[in-house]
Amino acid sequence: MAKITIDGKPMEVPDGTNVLEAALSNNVPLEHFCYQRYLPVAGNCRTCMVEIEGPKGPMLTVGCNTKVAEGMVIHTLSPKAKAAQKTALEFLLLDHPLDCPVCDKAGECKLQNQYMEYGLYDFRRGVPRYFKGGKAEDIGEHIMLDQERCVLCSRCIRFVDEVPKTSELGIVNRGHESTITIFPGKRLDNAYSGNVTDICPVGALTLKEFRFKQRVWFLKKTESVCPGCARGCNITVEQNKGHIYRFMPRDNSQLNKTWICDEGRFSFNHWQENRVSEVRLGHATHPLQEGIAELAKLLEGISPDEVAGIASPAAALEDNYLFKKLFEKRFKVKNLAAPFWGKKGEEDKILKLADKTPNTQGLKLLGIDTEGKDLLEQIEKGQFKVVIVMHNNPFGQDEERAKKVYGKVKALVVLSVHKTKMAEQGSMLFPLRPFTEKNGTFVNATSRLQRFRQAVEPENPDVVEASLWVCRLAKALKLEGFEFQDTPSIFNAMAKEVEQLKGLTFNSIPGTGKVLDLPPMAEEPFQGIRCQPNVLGTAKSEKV
Amino acid sequence: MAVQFKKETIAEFESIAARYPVRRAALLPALWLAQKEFGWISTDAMVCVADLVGCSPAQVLEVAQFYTMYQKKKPGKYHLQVCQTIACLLNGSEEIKKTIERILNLKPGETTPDGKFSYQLVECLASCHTAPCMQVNDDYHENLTPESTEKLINDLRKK
Amino acid sequence: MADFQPQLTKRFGIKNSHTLNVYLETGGYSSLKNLFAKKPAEVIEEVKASGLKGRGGAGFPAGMKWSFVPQNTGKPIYLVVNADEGEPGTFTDRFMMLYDPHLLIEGIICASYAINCHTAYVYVRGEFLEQINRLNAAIEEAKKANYLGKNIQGSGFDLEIYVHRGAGAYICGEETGLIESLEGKKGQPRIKPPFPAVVGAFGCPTIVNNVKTLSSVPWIIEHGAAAYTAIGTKESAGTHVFGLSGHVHQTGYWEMPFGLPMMEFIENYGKGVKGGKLKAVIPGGSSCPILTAQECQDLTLTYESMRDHKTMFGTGCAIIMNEHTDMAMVLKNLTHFYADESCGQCTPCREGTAWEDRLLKKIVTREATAKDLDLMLEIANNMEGKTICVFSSALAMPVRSFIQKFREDFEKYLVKNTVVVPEKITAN
Repeated sequence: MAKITIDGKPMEVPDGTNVLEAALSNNVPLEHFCYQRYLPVAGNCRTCMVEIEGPKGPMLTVGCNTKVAEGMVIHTLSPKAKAAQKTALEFLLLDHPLDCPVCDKAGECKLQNQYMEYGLYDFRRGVPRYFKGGKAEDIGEHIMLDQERCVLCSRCIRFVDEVPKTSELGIVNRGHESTITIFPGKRLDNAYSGNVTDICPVGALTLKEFRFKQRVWFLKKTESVCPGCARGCNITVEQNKGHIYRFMPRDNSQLNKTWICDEGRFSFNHWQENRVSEVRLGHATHPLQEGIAELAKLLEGISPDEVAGIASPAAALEDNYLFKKLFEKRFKVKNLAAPFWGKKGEEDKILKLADKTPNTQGLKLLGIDTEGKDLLEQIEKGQFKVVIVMHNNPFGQDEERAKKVYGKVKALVVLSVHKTKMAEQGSMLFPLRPFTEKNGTFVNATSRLQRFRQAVEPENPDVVEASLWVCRLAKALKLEGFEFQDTPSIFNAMAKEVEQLKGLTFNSIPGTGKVLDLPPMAEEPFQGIRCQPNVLGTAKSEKV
Repeated sequence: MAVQFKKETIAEFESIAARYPVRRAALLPALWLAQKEFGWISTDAMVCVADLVGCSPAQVLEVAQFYTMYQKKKPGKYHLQVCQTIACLLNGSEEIKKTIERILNLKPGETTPDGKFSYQLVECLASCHTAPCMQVNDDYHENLTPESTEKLINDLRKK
Repeated sequence: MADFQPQLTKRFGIKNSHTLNVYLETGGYSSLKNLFAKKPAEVIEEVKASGLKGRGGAGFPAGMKWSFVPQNTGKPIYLVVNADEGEPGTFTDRFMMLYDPHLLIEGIICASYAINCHTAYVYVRGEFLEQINRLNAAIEEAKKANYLGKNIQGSGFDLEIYVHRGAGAYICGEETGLIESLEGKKGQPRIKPPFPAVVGAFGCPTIVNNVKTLSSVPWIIEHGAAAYTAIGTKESAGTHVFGLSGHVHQTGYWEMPFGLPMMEFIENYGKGVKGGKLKAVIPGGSSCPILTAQECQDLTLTYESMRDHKTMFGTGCAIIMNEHTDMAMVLKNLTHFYADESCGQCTPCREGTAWEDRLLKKIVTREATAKDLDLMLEIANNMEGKTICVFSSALAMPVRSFIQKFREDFEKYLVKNTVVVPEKITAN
């Protein structure tokens, strides 16, 4: 640790921290455009100017490229530092179009925010505006470029160079004629392209999927975890009035940094489209209460041996935990498994993993069979009268086989988020809440326990999460030990039973997750990618 | 309209690339080779160079655009590069520019319809003691006067 | 300047001075004996003691620079020769390479030996094709005669030299811009620290030296630091190739020891100011603050005298202007140059250089008021010293010195009516 002083306040920061991070992590506001904590330092925007006391008196320098040293005395508010910060901003704004009213970045634009705080408020360009490049250029599947808003911080270029290593972007020409561009005829369409819009400090790079959809200040943000693959990238779910407008990456220095893949980013619509919204028994819709009663009646009439359960790597730890508990208490736990339904997906050395479910490791933690080969064979042989499928599709794409199998079953109970083929086949169908509408936890491929929180409340109260559905069924079956009202209390009960979770409570799980004592099933992300060593770890505030 | 390097050029490039510990360092030489072979640096040539050097086309574009001597437009047979910087200004480069513009009816950045002459203003050519000066292709022409400039152009016309 | 032996230009004028034969006949490569007799650290000490300053413009002591190279990194060490001569008003390195390429090679050998470098690159500006050809030919000759390659002259020291051709960008004269360009990138200067002596070309320790700096080294090694410091002045040891351009009867370049008065230089070497009385001098390339005729009276061609006159020695090539010179137009020429050559990386420089140019255009087209002139001064202050390299300062200094010293030349263009008309609001 190094003892330093910023604006007269003494503080301690880890060795190797740069002055800018040191200031930000101690709530000293210091604006910056080009600095991105996980990309190489460029030092070109010249806005994080500070004065540092030295043997020859105070020296003006950039905070981002200066490492702290023991006893360092830093001024961010001295007249010289302030003047340098303000004039750098004046230069940045010189030919800026100031089209904030029609710019999607308004509300989270660094230029806009900083101008309000540090602006000179004195227009004195004195010469006609220089028009730079065009507006709204379509440069990729997801990306639009508004050249004239660009401040040439080079964040996007450093990102495509360093992370996906695709280098589609470049700055061409020199001096004030410099512009960001892509190669003629090429497109910015790598698997991580959306990130350039997050790190663009202004409205130069925007997402087609978000443009003109919503003002950012209306969005409510909820901490969450991407369920798109076993990586479990940290995200925020951003919604207004129950409609989700975007998923944004959430800083986790030990996992996804501030990046997510496009597949995950643009899955937000998937979770609010084509949804099962009502309980269906046969062809008729029913209230949930009736559906549960009907199912309980059915189950009471058959032997516990004749019920099979399909848990899910897509469902939360709590859902699987209670589902398993139900089988332990009422049926036979050997008749429970969670085979992965789909094909293995695309994998890379960055973030994407082939396992496109978020909680395979969670199943292992709970001791649920993730193959279920025997169970599927038994189902196929017609050994079960009732099969309960929770957020799963055990026969996957093999529709013929599935049809044949389910024909042998008296009742196929399906709990589903989406109106899938599986849902159609169910003789009893119950709607499920997706991860955006519930609290819960997943364990990712590198054995990191991560919490997600409810972002949206479904309109129909009969749409419940799987764990609470189990509680209702258990109550109807007059079972004890299922008297839970919410997910956190289920987690807390589970934590007392599962060795690796001992001592944890739902609310005490760190925002960046906690690595459990469980063998990982994949390598750490960013293999072979030079990530900036970030001494301070995950940012405490969104401002970084 | 893809272009391709000749085999000999690729061999020459490889011998140049071997001088550097990283292949990317041979990008400037590769662009020189491309300019020599194709006459100028077209978009297709950039793709070709990117393949050869092993970097992205955008990276080649950045570099090609940054350096003024890479011709991103097909130049004339005689590329007139007139120095416009201070010492030449003090010694009458304005007159040289006017002379060229008058005789060839060109503005900076243009090429004559017959493709014989192109005209570009450049920054200091480091020939300040022999100002004003210009470079025609690779050759320096110094201590220019409007008369000598006119004569030079007429001589080149006849070639 | 009675007696002095030219060190840098002694072969100029000799037929085929660029060939190895002539070079050897005239005492070439004779420093190597002394060189290889010393330990590298001793060579550095010798050059330190000579007071040799970098001739590229910044004037940083060469021996000191060499001593910054860490010798324990396990990485190769590179020497890169800055032959990207492009500072407006400067034109002498091209002749050093044209007429005496072997002297440069000998200097490279000395420096490489001192810093323990085995691969040197000569970065030559793209326009100097003739020089590149001469250098390449000289390198070939030197290799054949075992002045380069493995085990040079039985010393056990290996060295290869490669010529790298630039392609037209002034900023590549900045040492880290030059390294970037050598690496095949845009010549955008790097943020420091780390400094190139520690992390330079290809991530390895690198020394960047100017052509004349290196060409000065063999003489020092051969004759010793004491002999070198005996020439010139206390703070400006040795000789230099000084240049004159602009309004003098005889433009050109001359090697001489440091210390000649500027007025004598103009009168005796330049044969006097052409077209009228002296108005102003830019002493060492366009980035140096301009001096009035009055200021030049007691100016000498030394680092210290330039510093005392609040300007810089720069490259030692002076641009002379007569009394009829319109300073506004000259500055317009410079603002255009700097706006054109700014690499565009740092905000204050990218926007500031062009802003100055746009404002000055407004002035010379008689559309500006005094407010615009003052704004130019303020922009100069706002961009100076706020960027990765000194490029923005290289324009800020001329802007300030031109306007402060020759304000009347600018004021004559101003609109007399000083009522500020609000800028027309036009639709995009």
